[in-house]
Amino acid sequence: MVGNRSDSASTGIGSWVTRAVHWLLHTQEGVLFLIVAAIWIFLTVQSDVFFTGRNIGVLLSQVSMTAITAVGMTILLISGEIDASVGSMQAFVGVIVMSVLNNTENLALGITVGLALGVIVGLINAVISLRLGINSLIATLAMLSIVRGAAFGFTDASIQNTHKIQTFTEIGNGFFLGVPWPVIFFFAIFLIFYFVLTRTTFGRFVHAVGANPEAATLAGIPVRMVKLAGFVLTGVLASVSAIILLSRLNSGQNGIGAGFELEAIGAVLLGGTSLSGGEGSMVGTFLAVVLLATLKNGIVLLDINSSWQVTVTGLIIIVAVLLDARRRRRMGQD
Amino acid sequence: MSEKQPLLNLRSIAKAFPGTQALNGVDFSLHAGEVHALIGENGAGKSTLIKIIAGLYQPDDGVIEIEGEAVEFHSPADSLAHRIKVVYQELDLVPDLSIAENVFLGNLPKKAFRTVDWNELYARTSELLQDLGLNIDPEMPISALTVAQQQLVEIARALSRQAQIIIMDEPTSALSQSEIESLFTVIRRLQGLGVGIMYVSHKLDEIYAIADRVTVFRDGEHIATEAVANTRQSDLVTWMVGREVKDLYPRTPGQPGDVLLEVDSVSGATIEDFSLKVHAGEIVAVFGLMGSGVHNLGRLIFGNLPRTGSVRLLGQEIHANAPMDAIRKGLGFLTENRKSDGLLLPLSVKENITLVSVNNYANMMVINGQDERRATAEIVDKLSIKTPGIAQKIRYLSGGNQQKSLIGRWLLEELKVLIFSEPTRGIDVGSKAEMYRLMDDMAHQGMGILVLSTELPEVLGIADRIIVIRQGRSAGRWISRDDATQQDLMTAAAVQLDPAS
Repeated sequence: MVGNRSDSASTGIGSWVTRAVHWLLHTQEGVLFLIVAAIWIFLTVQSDVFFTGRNIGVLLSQVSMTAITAVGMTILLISGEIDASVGSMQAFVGVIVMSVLNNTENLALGITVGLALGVIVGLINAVISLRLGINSLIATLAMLSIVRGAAFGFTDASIQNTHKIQTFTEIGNGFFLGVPWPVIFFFAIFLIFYFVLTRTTFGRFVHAVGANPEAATLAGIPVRMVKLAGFVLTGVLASVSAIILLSRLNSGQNGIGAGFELEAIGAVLLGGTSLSGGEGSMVGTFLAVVLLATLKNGIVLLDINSSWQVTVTGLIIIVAVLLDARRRRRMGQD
Repeated sequence: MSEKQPLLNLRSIAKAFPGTQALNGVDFSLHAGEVHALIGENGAGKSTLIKIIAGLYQPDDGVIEIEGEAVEFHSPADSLAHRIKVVYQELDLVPDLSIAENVFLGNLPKKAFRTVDWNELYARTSELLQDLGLNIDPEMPISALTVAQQQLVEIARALSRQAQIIIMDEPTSALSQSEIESLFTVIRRLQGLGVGIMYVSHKLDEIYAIADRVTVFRDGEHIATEAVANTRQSDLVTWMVGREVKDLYPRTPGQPGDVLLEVDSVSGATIEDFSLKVHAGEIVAVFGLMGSGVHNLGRLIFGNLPRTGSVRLLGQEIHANAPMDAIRKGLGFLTENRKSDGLLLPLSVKENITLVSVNNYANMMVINGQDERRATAEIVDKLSIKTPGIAQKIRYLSGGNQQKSLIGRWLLEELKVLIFSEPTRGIDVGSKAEMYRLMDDMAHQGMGILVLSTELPEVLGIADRIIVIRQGRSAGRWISRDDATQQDLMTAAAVQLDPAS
């Protein structure tokens, strides 16, 4: 974890440099940082467009949905659980929120309904995984299908924007002081949950229940409640992503978000969060998301067939899991 | 020993881990037909050496020779190929497979078309088991065996591969006295077959019972290698600890105060109708043999297993099924499986130590890092936990220091009563005395201590009052440890009830 590095007793500029070098070369976050930096430099040289405020804004806006969901997913994976249903949530929340907006012209109500759906699906995921004891990967894969079905059941076509709420369109497309709103949401949510994960007792408990649930129980930690909070948080953040996506697309589409879950989970794993729980890094997730976005952006800028974008996600997951396995072997964990 | 070529000869082996020099140029040799004991405190480097011999770690420096020939082990397969077998404390058997399948795992006798020759398999397994004095059906699943029997299956597995070097890591830690005796019989039989045995243990009396030579490590250094017959027990202790241990049991009983913990007719798991009281300033021990239920008692009281009956702390009922409630009311519990039930391996020493008390350093859920670090540093200091820093991942600490960290976890809480299940399991002689002193201190500060133990000398050495448990029921109480003799306690714990009564 990032926060701990300050615990070392040694100070002074020399040891600061040593630690920075160690971070860059020996942690997954550091290596990711180097890779991102290298690709950015490469793309800046290769393309006149890449390193412009506009392109970076587009790049970060496009990835903001994945990023926001990945923040929740990081916490959930550290707690030893996973949520594969977030992809279908993009469609389900989208069609319902759009229809609420169209019918009521009430922005607050639309957003509240969207977030409430996140809470409900998160709770259902938690109950199936924690109460009924079904492995959360299987449980939420089932939910992926169920929620997708619900989106199709709700509407057999996409729901077009007929409301007149300009503010809603601004969420996904507007700017604040020159920065796109989705990027502001993304950074704010990232910072808040970076703090929650590294500086609060809840963050500590998330690590503990993922590392050793039995030890956590015996230490008086409400293991199920902590994991439940992780599921609900992931559900709500998936809803936030869905609302931003809805605003960007300007219509609720029942088929949207296929493969979204893979992108979010892949980014978290690539960021150094362990599949076996107890270990993970919000900074790593952030860098991984940026890397993912950069690769997609680069594919477009370098005029490579953009169908390969999806393939990149898959490749990244394999690399991420390999890195995780290698790191665990090195630590003598088998 | 003979002047013959040793089977195994390790010279100047060195191995470093982040922050620690685990082994610093140690030597160890093993001859055919010899039992060579390796002893040392936790963190002495025994486990590291075992893992090097097993091919799990590669040494940074030094030479491994098998029958005079230098070899390099890049993986466990290399070590196996040189007919070396390590029998670990935690046995690596497949519980759902039969004894025979486990013994010949990876090496099953085959018939035509590479199908398993079951008749041959069972016949050969029976033979091996009989060699070891074990008369059980080779078709039984491993999960149906006792730990002692499983250990023998591991040894049979070694024999099936013609192992010439067998390394036993704390082989008796989960065995009863009679099981230990039969293990020793097996070891002597192996000696007769010319197998060399490296015997790693904490228990000095076992060294005298079985070993020919003994080597002592301390802090990764080789301290001494001597014939056991020429070595006094006090020498071994001094070598291990680096100083003389005068008083292993420093208990100075005080005046017991009010009743703190009342356990009233508690039943559940393997326990039936058990009652006890712990007063302030008192150390109460429950003594029982393996399988007596003594360990379940802790979980029942703490609320980690469903129970009937009542548990009160200072008159307040502690809810069943809620360790959280027990902790809030001032009850702590150190389980006997501290590693699996206690450690958060991916987390730091600090995060492990403050796991229970972290709320005390937090305001509105936000942790005050400075307070937390200060509290952790105090514990590290008080318990002399050896770590390069409190941010170090706990998985890099030695077993003994991991244990101390887990005890430290409870010292940060304002507890009324602490339940210690097997307080010194896996702890070396030097730390044992420290642990007992700590318990004595806590009692003098007005806490109540409940010890659950299967070790007789410990119970007699540390407890003010003793309760014996047998088959889940109370089987005798002693008001003061001065009244109790080893004989009394062992009789109460071990003798079968008359079936008619």
